[in-house]
Order: sequence, then C-alpha cells, then structure tokens
Amino acid sequence: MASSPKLNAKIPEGALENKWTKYRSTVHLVNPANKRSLEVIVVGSGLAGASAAASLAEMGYKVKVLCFQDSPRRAHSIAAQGGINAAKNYQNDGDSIYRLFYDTIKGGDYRAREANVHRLAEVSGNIIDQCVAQGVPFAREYGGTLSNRSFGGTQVQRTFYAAGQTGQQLLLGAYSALQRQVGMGAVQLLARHEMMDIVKIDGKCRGIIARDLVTGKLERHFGHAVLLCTGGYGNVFYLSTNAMGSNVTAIWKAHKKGAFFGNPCYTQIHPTCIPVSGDHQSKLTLMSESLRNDGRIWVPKKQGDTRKPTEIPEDERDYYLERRYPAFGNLVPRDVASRAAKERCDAGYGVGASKMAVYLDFAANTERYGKIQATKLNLHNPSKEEIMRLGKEVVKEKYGNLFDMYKQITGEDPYELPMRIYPAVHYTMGGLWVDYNLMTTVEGLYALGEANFSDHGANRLGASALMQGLADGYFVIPYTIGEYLSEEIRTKAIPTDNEAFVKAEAEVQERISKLMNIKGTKSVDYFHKRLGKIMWDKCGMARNKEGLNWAIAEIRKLKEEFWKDVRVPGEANELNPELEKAHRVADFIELGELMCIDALDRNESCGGHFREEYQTEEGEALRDDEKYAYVAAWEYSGEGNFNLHKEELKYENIKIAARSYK
Amino acid sequence: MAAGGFVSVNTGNAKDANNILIPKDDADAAFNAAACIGCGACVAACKNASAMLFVSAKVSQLALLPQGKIEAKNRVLNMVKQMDEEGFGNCTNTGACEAECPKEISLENIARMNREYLY
Amino acid sequence: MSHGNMNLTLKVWKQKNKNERGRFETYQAKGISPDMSFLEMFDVVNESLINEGKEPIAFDHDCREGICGMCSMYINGRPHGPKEGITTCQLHMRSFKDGDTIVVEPWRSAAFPVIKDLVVDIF
Ligand SMILES: Cc1cc2nc3c(=O)[nH]c(=O)nc-3n(C[C@H](O)[C@H](O)[C@H](O)COP(=O)(O)OP(=O)(O)OC[C@H]3O[C@@H](n4cnc5c(N)ncnc54)[C@H](O)[C@@H]3O)c2cc1C
Ligand code: SF4
Ligand code: FES
Repeated sequence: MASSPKLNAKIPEGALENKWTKYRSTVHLVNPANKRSLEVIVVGSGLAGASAAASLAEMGYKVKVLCFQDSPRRAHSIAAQGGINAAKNYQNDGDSIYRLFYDTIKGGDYRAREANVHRLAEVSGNIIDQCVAQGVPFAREYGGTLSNRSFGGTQVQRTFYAAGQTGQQLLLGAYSALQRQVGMGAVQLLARHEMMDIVKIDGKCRGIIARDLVTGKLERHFGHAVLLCTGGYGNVFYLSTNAMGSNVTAIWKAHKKGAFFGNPCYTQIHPTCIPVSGDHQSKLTLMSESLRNDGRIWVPKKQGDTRKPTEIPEDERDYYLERRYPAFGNLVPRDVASRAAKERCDAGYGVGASKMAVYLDFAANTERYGKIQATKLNLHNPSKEEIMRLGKEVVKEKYGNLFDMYKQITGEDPYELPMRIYPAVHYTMGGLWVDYNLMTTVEGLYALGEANFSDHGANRLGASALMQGLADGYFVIPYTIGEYLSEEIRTKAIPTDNEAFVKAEAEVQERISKLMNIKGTKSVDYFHKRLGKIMWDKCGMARNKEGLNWAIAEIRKLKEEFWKDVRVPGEANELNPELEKAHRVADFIELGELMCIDALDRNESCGGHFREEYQTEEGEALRDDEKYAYVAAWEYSGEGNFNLHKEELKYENIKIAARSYK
Repeated sequence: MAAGGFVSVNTGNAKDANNILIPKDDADAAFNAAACIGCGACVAACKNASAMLFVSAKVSQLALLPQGKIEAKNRVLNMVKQMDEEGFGNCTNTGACEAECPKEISLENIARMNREYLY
Repeated sequence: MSHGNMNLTLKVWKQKNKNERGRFETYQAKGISPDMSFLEMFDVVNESLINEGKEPIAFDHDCREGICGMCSMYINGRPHGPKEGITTCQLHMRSFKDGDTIVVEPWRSAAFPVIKDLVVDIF
C-alpha cells in the first residue's frame, strides 16, 4: 500500500529520536518585525486554543481568539478530571520518553503515526514544567515534590493531577497566560462568538465567518492562518460526557471546504460513567479513570442477582477484569474495559434497576488505606470501624469531589455502597487529518487538540488528551507555523470586502434563513436524540456491516426530515440557543453518516472500533495489519459523497504485535 | 473580570518542575482557592456587588505559591484597580458571598488578599 | 412525554434583551422525575413550549457537572438554589416536592446586565 499523493505527512528525515529536535532548529523563522503584521485566528479557547494563542501572542503574532462560551475559561477542557501524563520518571519506576511513546502507540492499537507520538512524548515533560511555573497547583507529597498516579494501559505512575479537577487547573493556567496577552493588547478576544465557516482565497485559508451569538450579526475576520482548536464531536451520540455545547461545526465546515477528515469512526467509549437514569437524560457524567487505581470492578457471579452489593460474599463476585487480564487488571485501557462491561451486562450479569451497570467498589482499598493510616498513627488493634473511618479520609482526599458528584446525581453514598457505572461516549480520536506541522489539507488551516486526528490512533490512553492539547499549543505550533508564515510575510492583510468573504457570508446567511423558515413541528433535540440513538446502537461499542448499512440509510432519512420539519423558535438577530443547536445538529447528522461509512470501510477491529465480524475466540479485537494499517482520510466531494485517501502507517521503531494486556 | 491574575512567564524555558518544592499544605491551600469556577454567585449575593471573594481566590492561589510570590504585590494592586474600574463595589465583610459560593471558597482569602494589599 | 410524576409551577424571569423591561412569566412543569437535574427540568419545559409554538426559556449552561460556572441563576431567592455547595446543574429535582412553586431569576446585580431571560453578562 502506498499513501495517497494528496496526503503528504511531511515527517522529517532522520532517526526517530532526533526528528523533532533537528526539525525544530531548522524550521523557518519569522523575524519579530514581520510577526507584528501577521494575523492568526484561533478558534477555541480550551487547552489547545488558549495555549496556542498565548504562545503565539508572546512570540509577537497578532492573534484573535473565539469561543462560544461567555469566557475562554469555560471551554470544555475545564471539565477534565483525572490528570495529565508526562514522562518525567519522578517515581523512578522505569518511565522514559520511549516508554510513553511505546505505551501510546500500543494503546492506540498501532494506528497512530510514530513521529507525532514520539514528539508528544518528548515535549510531555516541558508541559509540566511550564504549568508549574504558571502556578498550577498540582498535587504534592509531604516532601514537597509532585505526586503521581496510575492510569490505564500503563504500568508506571506518570499521571500528574490536581484532585479531580486537573483540567480546570491546567485551563486556568493557560487562560491566565492568555489574559496576560489580552491585557497587553496582543490578543483580541471574541467570546460568545461561533465560527460558521472558513474563507478560502486561491486555495489558502484566509479567514472565517463568525456569528456574534448575542446580536446574531455575522462578522468577517481575516487571518494569514486559522487554527481550529474546537474540541471533539462526541455529542454526535447525543448522550456523552462532553459539555452540552461541544460540537463538530467548525471542523465540519472546514471539511466541506477541503480539509480531509481522519478516522472519523474512532470513538472512545469510557468504561466508568454514571449510568443513564431515564429518557430525560441530557448528558452523562464521567467518573474519572483515576478511580480505577483504587476501585475494583465486579459483577455478581449469578445472573440477575438482586441482592444488595454489600450482601454478596466475596466468593460470589466476579472481578472480571482481574480474571481476564491478570497483568493489567482493573487498569486495562478504556476500550478493553468498556467492551468487557458490555459483555457482562449483555450476558445478564448487570446490576442496578436497568441491569446495564457494573460495580466499581472501593471497600478493599479503603480498608487497606485505613490499616496504613492506623499504623502511621501508632494505633494498636484498631476496630474495623476505626480502620474504615481512617481509610475513608484518605479516599476522600484523593477523590472527594468525584464521590460528591456521584452522590449528587444518584442519591447514593459511594463511601458506603459501590458505585454503579457503565460505559459512555467520551472522546473522539478522529478529527481533521493534519501533517507533522498540524496543517490540514487546506493550506494555512491548522487543527490542534481533540479536533485533529493525530496522536491517539484507534484508542486514546487516559490523561493523554490534556497532554496532547497542551503539547500542540505550547510546544508544537509555535515552531511549525513558522514553516508556513515565513512564506506569507509579503501577504498584506486582505480586506474583508473581498468577494470570497462576501460569498461565504452570504452562504451562511442563506442557511440561517433556511433553518428559521422551515417552521416545522419538531424541536432540534428531537432530531438530535434520534440521531444519537442510531449512532449508539449501530456505530457505538460494537458495529457490524448490516447495522452500519441500516444506520446510513436511517441517517439519510433523518437528514431529509430535519430539513423539512425542524422548528427553530425566536429570531435570528438575537441570542437564540435553539438556532445555535440547529446549526450544530445539522452538521452532526452529516458527520454521523461519514462515521458509519468509515466504520463500514474498516473491515477489522482495532481500539475503539470493534466490528463484531472481526474478533478472536476470546472476544478480543482482531486487527488486520496487512490491509488496514492506514489512516483513513476522507475528502468531501459534494452532498453525502466522500472519497477515501489512505496514509500508510509505517512502524520502524516498534514491532507491531497483537495487543495483549493479559 | 479577568485582569492581572497571572504569573509573568512565557512559554518555554521553565525549569524542571521538581526544582520548586512546595509544602503539601501550601499546595492544598492554593488548590482550594483555585477551585473557584467564576460563576459570579458571590457578586450576585453581595449587597455591594463586590467581587472580593472571586478576586481574592485568584490572588491567594498565586500568593501561596513561590512562583507567584515575586509579583504578588503588583498583582493585587492591578486586580483591585481593575475591579474598581469595572464598577464592582467594596467589601464590607457581610459574608454573604461565602454562604452562597457553590465551591465553598473561604472568606480567609479576602483577609489574605487584604494582607497582600496593605503590606 | 411524561418522565415522572411531579408537577410544579415555575415563575421565571423573561426579558427579551438588555434594553427591554422584563417580567415574571408562569409555566407549568409537568411529569417531572426526581432524578432530573434542575436544567433537565428546564429542557422538558422548553421542549413543550417549542411544541406549543412558544418561545423557550433562555439560560446559560455547558458542562452540566458543576465546573464551568455558566448555569447562573437565582432559585427561590438563592444563587444556585436551596442546597449548599452545588451549582444549579447539580441541583436535582428530588430537592423539591410535588406541587411546589419555584421562582427563577437571573443574577440580580448591577454588575451583571441581563442579555436575555436568565442569561447575564458576567465577563
Ligand atoms: C468529563 C471529561 C473528563 C476528561 N478528563 C480528562 C483527563 O483527566 N485527562 C485527559 O487527558 N483528558 C481528559 N478528557 C479529555 C479532554 O478534556 C479533552 O480532550 C480536551 O480538553 C480537549 O481540549 P481542546 O482544547 O481540544 O478542546 P475544548 O476544551 O473542547 O475546547 C473547544 C473550544 O472551542 C470552542 N469552539 C468550538 N466550536 C466552536 C465554534 N464553531 N466557534 C467558536 N468556538 C468554538 C469552544 O468555545 C471551546 O473554547 C476529559 C474529557 C471529558 C469530557
Ligand atoms: S461564588 Fe465562589 S465559585 Fe462562584 S465566582 Fe464567587 S468565589 Fe468563585
Ligand atoms: S453548567 Fe457548568 S457549572 Fe453548571
């Protein structure tokens, strides 16, 4: 297999360990005087967007930042809980850049690009240094050093964290760096603004059309380059752990204007989320993977057991992850853990009212911590109650906010009863295809963070999204953008009365009018929920040919119905949340179709993509490296038509092997 | 309501993270102050429309950490100036903010900020 | 569609924009489940308003798990409602009783002008 001529990944020559260092020091530079006249638009203010915007502004570029929330600090990254990986080896447990690189490639089921992943591992340590310098209050040991915990798919402790609010603390760090630049006039901030389309002139991306969400006015913004840092598209499933506003619109619009979409079907279903409680459910809440450090997952050995969990004796419990995967146990990667939970529930061993849940139990480790505390405090023969009380204090300190959250939502106390959890849509590995510079197939248009496809292959390891977002923004794009912008120093700012801007704005306007004028009978949510159900049933944790074909036909029907019968109340020239949703859902419907097409094309199982036709006798994913060791990059070629381009994945530094966590 | 709450450090060249040792208690206190979600309940609940709890949470987080110490004084001055310019009122210690804060940010932060402001 | 069996009366602040005057509007929230969050209760009310051809209630929200700080509103005279230490999106309907009347207003502070209904300008 050879890569499509339309896909040049621009991976630098040389040995893997030297590629980035060498490239970084030879990439073209832009001199300070020229930087001042080069404008960069950053769409999105999450970890990727805020870190990129702050860094580029510090370097001297003129930067504009957009986000749809009222403040950049509210981007979805704020909700990340568990932590961020870095190959610091502070625990002296054998970690290294190579090991982080290896774990990530293996975790991604050998479907990620070696050079990008190695670069990610190389800069991971700098991220922690940078964040600490900004004042991010990471958890610490009594000696004053940084503390680490374990995440899935690894056997070292390399995850840095701030209680269960790591994303919040990292984002506030990046946000403060951004605000510093805003204060100095280097960044112009456009909050409550939504990007509606990109503008292309002579094949290059030269700006965007945005909607001021408060007034409804359309605006034209010029940029020598545009960075899409708009996050993931998990909400195509309606229910996910993503924030309500997370959407695909920015990258979908870019896709329709020529940016190829990489691996759209790779979706991460997170094993530990609070189960659905009814059809009113609007979103699902994650219980961080860090809980699997101390929680043991089990179901009763007897089908349909209705006893209270605390009444089921030890030998009647099936700790199925420890049973099936003794080497990694409860810390297997997410795709493996999710499928195992589904397998048990489908087989009739599920718990709770819906029977679609498994237990995540902290009792054993609470007791263990209690005993350690008792010894520390020199308590002789402490009672069981005493031990559990001391243990709970330790657990509370580690996971307090998560336990509170669980109790709020379910009304049950996880200090007393095990949590009930079930897998839920969480993250999208797919996204816009980018080269080594993070540039899409449209010149001058970049994608960073969850919005690109680059580093996680078919399955992302826990605590690696925050790492990737900040790597892209702080340490990659500031260098790689020079390669393009150094050629643009003679391009004067293009006035926005240029016909390309006028035309793009008119198209957006037309679409808004169309949506407003359907005046149908069904709400936007009605369509979104139906789409979500199709996607979850047929393109979720398990997929097959028949189901995917059915889903594609259903989605096409749904699309037709949407454009005939959706009702968008209110007006276009005011704050109108229903109109915002309508735009997003219209794009999700189109994306859903492409996801199913991609899943249908990939006749193998890998990572989060599990095709029922392709599994081992033990129910493990069965890859086909002969035929499918490629990135699927889809080109839009008009309404419902997509052409496949393949980027061959070559493994020169890692021996590609069956992925085993046994 | 965003000015000045930062440590002046550019991207790159930060030294190894474990070169700065921070006692666990200070790190925990900084984290507790940093847990503010910027929701504005404290301002809304205050009869003076004062943003002291919110602002002091940020000031405290950074003042508690060695990285932020150097600029502590200036940071307070800037943030208080900004708060005044944006028309937020003065704090008269009614405690309504603390009572309504969903993240249970403590009034101690206001006291800590006043200390930074005065000395 | 019915989700549960609580019925509530809502008095909600409606205001078209910054310049126009606002007023309280009364709505019936029917078939509410105690497992819903306060915002999910709003979703149900909005869905039926849209089905009846009326304007839904505008409110800010995003994460729905207590971390983004967007779901600002006064509920029965208190920011984020009657329970301590949580945001509106974390407030569940089990904190209310069948038949209750709930008053919902935007942040009432000169510092935060109303953009629409419950949406205010904080930053
Ligand atoms: C509940 C939860 C917990 C998580 N925990 C972890 C964890 O512990 N560790 C980890 O590594 N990862 C975690 N993740 C994943 C991680 O948080 C995300 O992948 C990451 O934060 C994405 O960052 P981002 O900068 O790419 O995008 P986001 O933070 O999603 O930001 C997107 C930005 O784009 C803007 N935007 C989007 N569309 C438009 C548009 N059309 N116009 C204008 N602006 C737009 C938004 O306003 C926002 O500012 C978690 C995810 C979830 C859902
Ligand atoms: S009420 Fe608490 S969380 Fe909200 S802005 Fe004020 S200090 Fe921050
Ligand atoms: S919606 Fe984010 S805090 Fe409530």
